[in-house]
Amino acid sequence: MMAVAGLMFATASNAQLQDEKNVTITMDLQPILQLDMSTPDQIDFVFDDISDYYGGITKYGATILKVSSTVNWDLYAVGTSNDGSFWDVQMNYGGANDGVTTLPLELLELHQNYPNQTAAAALPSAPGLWYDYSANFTDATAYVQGQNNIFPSASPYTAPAASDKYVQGHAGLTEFIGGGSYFLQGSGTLTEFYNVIDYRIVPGLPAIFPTAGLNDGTPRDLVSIGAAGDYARPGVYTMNVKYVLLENQ
Amino acid sequence: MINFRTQIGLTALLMFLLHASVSTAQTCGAPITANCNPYPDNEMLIASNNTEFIFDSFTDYLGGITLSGSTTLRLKVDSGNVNCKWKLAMIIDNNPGGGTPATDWETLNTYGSSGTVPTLDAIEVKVYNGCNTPINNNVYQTFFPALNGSNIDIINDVMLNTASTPCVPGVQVNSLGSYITNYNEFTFQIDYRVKPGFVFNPGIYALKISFCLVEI
Repeated sequence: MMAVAGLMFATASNAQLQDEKNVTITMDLQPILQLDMSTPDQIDFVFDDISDYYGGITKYGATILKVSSTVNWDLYAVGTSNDGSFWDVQMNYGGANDGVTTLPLELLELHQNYPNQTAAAALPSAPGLWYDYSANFTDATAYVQGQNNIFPSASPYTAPAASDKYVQGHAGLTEFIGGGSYFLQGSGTLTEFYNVIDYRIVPGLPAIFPTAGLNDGTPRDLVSIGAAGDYARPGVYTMNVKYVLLENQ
Repeated sequence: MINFRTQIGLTALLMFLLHASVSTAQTCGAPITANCNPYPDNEMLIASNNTEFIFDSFTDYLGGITLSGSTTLRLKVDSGNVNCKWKLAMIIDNNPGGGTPATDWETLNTYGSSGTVPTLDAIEVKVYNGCNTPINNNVYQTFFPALNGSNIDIINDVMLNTASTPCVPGVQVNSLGSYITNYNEFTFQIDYRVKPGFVFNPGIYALKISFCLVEI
């Protein structure tokens, strides 16, 4: 009986105020990859002067690429066309004896204002490979084939291999640019999130596009891919340049 | 034999009571006086039990999302003797039993492998009411240390401060009273803010915030 009385007393002393309420907070961080591009719809190279053939035509700052991303990312440029190897022929001004119309996509050269910021140790280091387009355009008479030539592909949405160029980031899980945005950079600050692209085409005379080459330095000028005496037939040619921003993978 | 069996039964019952007391203390801390009557004579009412942050634009990532007045607490502590005194706190919980590290939000799902799991200091809270009674009234705070189980005290004065009409701004009222009779001292608004930036891995994350009303 004494034990029971003690228990009842203990119960009464527990009549104390205590209350608890809960809030569940959920955070949904959705991935965002955003590429803002400022560029003319079409960039025209009109070769109508002998100095244009010799010295080429350069379009400075023709394209500006602004990146914002919440995930690790890579950015690459790819030149493509109907067959993925040669410029599309819209029309030509001559006949069969007036040169060839197989102009390789690699004749287009690119230059980016800010180097690829992927850790250098992770980038390809084999001799003759260029991992981005940051090298300055060479003298039109002392060119380095492969240095600035665009990566060509018939499958533009397949990312370049480790042996090819990227604007930022690179092939492989460990080579990327982390999340961020050009919003966060101060004016005048160079950043991997803000890339200015120059274009150049040097036909040469005769017009064999001597600077054209693969990334490993293999020549792609008209004589190297055709025969001695080949040159470009006058006409209108087009190709498509895509800039692809993708999550690192 | 009869006495022996009775003693066994009492021991088991006392062990149960002790266990219940320890479990309560882990979340909100145990009451240390008995001047206020328990629930349902006194209670804490809460509006909006779930809060969602959805980040789907750069504006959200950069500027953050603020949910103002997302939680409202209304206290009814009007039953007890004149020595009734209480404290109010919020405690963060990331479900460590599910394997969540003490510093992180609980991961429900991920969209990729970029960045890191959000840390608990990513959530900011602001508590305020019409009479400025909370500690750090109307100021954004984070849980410190940013670990599971950390708390932010809203009212914790060891002195008894009685509600009055009109109220005295800046004094931690913790006496008998109710949101019905003293709205500005017994009602608390809570704002939440998250500014993720670009360091966290996209995905769905969760945590729990417990609000504890305990007499002291």
